[in-house]
Amino acid sequence: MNEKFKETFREEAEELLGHLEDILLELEERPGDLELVNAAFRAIHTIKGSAGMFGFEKAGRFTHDLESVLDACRSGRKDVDKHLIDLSLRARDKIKALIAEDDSSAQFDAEALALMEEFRDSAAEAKPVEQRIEEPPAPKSATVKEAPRAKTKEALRSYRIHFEPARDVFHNGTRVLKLFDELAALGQLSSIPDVSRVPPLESLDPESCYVSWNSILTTSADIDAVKDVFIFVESDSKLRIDQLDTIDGDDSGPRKLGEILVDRGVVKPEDLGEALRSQRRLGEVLVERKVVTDSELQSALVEQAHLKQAQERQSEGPSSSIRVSSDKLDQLVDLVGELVTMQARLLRTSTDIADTGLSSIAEQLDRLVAQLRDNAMSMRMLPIGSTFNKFRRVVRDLSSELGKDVDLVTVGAETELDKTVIERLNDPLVHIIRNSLDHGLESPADRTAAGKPSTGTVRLAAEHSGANVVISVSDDGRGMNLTAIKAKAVERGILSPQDQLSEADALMLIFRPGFSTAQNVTSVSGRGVGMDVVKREIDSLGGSVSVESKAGAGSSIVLKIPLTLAIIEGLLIRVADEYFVLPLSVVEACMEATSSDTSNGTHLVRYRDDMIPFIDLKEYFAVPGAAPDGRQIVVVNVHDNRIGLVVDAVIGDNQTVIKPLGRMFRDAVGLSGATILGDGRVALIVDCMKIADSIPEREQKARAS
Amino acid sequence: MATRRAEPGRYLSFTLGDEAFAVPVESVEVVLETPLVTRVPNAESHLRGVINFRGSVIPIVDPRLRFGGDPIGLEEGSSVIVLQMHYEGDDVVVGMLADGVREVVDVGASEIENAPKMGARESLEYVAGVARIGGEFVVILDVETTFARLAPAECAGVV
Amino acid sequence: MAKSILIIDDSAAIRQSISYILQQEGYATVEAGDGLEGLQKLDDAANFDCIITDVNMPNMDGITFIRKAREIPKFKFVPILVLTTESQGTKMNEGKEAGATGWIVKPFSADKLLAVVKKVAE
Repeated sequence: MNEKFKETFREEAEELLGHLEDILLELEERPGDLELVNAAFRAIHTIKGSAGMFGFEKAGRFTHDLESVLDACRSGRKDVDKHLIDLSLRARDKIKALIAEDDSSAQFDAEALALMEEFRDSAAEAKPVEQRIEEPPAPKSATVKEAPRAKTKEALRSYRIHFEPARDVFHNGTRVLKLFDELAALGQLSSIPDVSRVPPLESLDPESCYVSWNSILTTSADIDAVKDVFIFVESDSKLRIDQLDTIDGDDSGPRKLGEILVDRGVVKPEDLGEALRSQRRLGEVLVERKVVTDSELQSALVEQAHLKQAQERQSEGPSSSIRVSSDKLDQLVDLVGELVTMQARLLRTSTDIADTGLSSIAEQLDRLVAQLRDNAMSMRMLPIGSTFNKFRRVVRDLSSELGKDVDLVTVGAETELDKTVIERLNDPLVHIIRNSLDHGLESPADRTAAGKPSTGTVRLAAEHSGANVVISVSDDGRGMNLTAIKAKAVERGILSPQDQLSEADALMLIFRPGFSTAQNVTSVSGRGVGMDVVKREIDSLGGSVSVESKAGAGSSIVLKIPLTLAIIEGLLIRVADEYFVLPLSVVEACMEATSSDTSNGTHLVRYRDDMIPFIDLKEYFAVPGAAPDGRQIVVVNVHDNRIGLVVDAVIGDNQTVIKPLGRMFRDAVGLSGATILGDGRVALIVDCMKIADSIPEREQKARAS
Repeated sequence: MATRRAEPGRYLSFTLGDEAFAVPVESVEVVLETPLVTRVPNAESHLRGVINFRGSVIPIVDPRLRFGGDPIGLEEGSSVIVLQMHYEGDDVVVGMLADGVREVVDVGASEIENAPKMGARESLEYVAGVARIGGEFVVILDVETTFARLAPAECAGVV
Repeated sequence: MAKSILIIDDSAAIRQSISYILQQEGYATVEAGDGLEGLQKLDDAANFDCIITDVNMPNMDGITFIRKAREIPKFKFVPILVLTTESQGTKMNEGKEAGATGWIVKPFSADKLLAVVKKVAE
């Protein structure tokens, strides 16, 4: 832009300098005329301000001290005298020369240097500017740094920014929220407004800003770039920017809430210690004691979450991984399991001893152990895709053996599941796929005759559903022949001819041992072994199997498998003196049981707006002893059906390390495993699905009696 | 079911009621005072429940119930002999209840008799042999057979 | 619709160069030679997204201009940038007290000008 406006500037400067000459001459006659001094200053000021912009840096530099001297004169700190007028006139000529010459790289000549020297001395002689109490902000170049340059692998820093704009900030045309847009452009931003100073509506001035903000910014930009965002408002706002500890991927865990609050100066360390000793959630305690306000707490919590997230992102990066033998991983999980159990004992013991110091340690350890547990468990999660790929080969080999054209479609290969579960799913899935190909899909000729594409499709899909993974194997084959299934079941003595079965129950017959519906036994699906094995394996995984079939359109087998076999969140309950754990993932609510609930003869209890069936666990597990008063109902949700489980007492949450009961107990219906409690005793884990399955039978029985 | 023949070696003897029994010492892990047993509902009747053994959950089996007798009392100085055994092809650890645990004895080949002489209560197939120790007959128990699942086909695949 | 910006400076060179830079970026610009002329531009039809004004000008200086502009309801909250030089720290404060939003320090480059205008006006 220089060249384009250089000439304009030159003309303008010539004009100004001509004008300046007149002013100076007039000033010589009336040295006290402030208006003249002002005019002289303005002329020099304009030239100085513009010169640098159009490539006349030399003229700009030359003018600097002259401007200072004139500024001193107009503010009364220096008198205008003949000598000054003299110097100014000479300077004026010099500026004219400097602007006329085009070479700004050349050195100042001796005369220019001498003049500059004189002005510098003269400016120094002037009385100092009266210091304002409020020091003006050091002028900075108002550069707004562009979003952080994409430097490779630059360390991220986190800044805590407290920003409380002046109440009249809007009157300066400042768009406060825009500042946050700018911050957000620098990196990852979490902001929480503090609205505690917003007055009630009747006394609220809509043109005032009552809100302050606490933000956390994680960015690769330096603190100056962050400060620059607030450059126009920092002089009249409360602004505090603190750099927090550098985040690096392998730093220790997220910051404690207490640390953050102390660090922010919101809480004194001694208050923190006292609050921690009360053994409750720190935040609640501090708010209750009015040590912190709710908004201070909220913003600290946001900071905590932000830092945790930032840390996670940082560590995501270009993820590096190492191979660990699965044995070591299993050992780790076993050890974590032991640790969880020991931790439960510690917690229990510390409660018994009632030592607050010990309790606070136990609670902190509890959080650490929970994190360690989640971490160890996540290490064992693998995408199911690797298993899916094995099935491609199975399908390929089998389809050529059977003379059928088959496409295998897989969905949700990225679904993660515990490694052990994946391993144990392999055989059942092979069985199911073999069955689909062998019995489900028709020959190409039959398919063509039925108006279907000659190539059959087997769809293998996995998806998460709460604490479970649902895996389905579907085909677009002929579907299952219910009549043939029933006939075969009768023939095999599994079913008596007069039994009335629902369609769903009839389909489940295929999972009975020794059942085969194939018209001719083939080498592929074997001799009726298979589906019963599938069911047994899925049961032992704590999962469930269901079948759907539509004649002519195909069938699908759906497996519902728990995500992990090792550690779950559980709800500990008691029936007489026996302890049981319900998986928390299925628990929906706990409520008091009234005797009218449990003895109204309907086996139904009111829950919200519904009547739901209930089962007395005391009855179900044949627990000896009389039922006490004041029992509880735990509402569980299984397969979208709610049932109530009547128990004597709900003890509370329990980190449940699942231990298998072993094959000896495979008849123990309604149990999916065991766990060791804090006091060392064993509690049994309730298989809510199994119990839910028993409901229709019971209802039938109840109706019959 | 063929009865396995007991080998000479070291045996741990114990009592069930007033009768003496023995199991090979190498299958015994440890003998415990009977700990807190958690009952497992709906299981086979000789399975009294489970205990926490070194952080694992192991079954507690009651041989007397297997032989058709009364259950062993859990609060009256009974013991649990923790054993390694085979169960359906797997190595498992079980806790076997006993009324009393006696001693470890060496049993020579000459002391082992094949033909068991005992009351009608114990079925022959649980017996691996009979040893004459100090003028007393001790039944060497075949733990695998004793605690094997009865008629597995009946129970499999419950829908 | 293009953002519209009023530029007030007694230096035509400055005015024109600012105008030129902003136009290159798609802004619409209006120029005024001093505060008084600037104030005259703030009529009913005016609709500026941002105002850039010099401080030292004949007839009416920038500070006075800002005070007067802020009295017009329509321009009460419009961002106003002050053109200033490094030597005028006090002017920045005077400007802020009068109701300026921010400042641009002379000499400035095209990039710097655009960054500041974007910062307050978009």
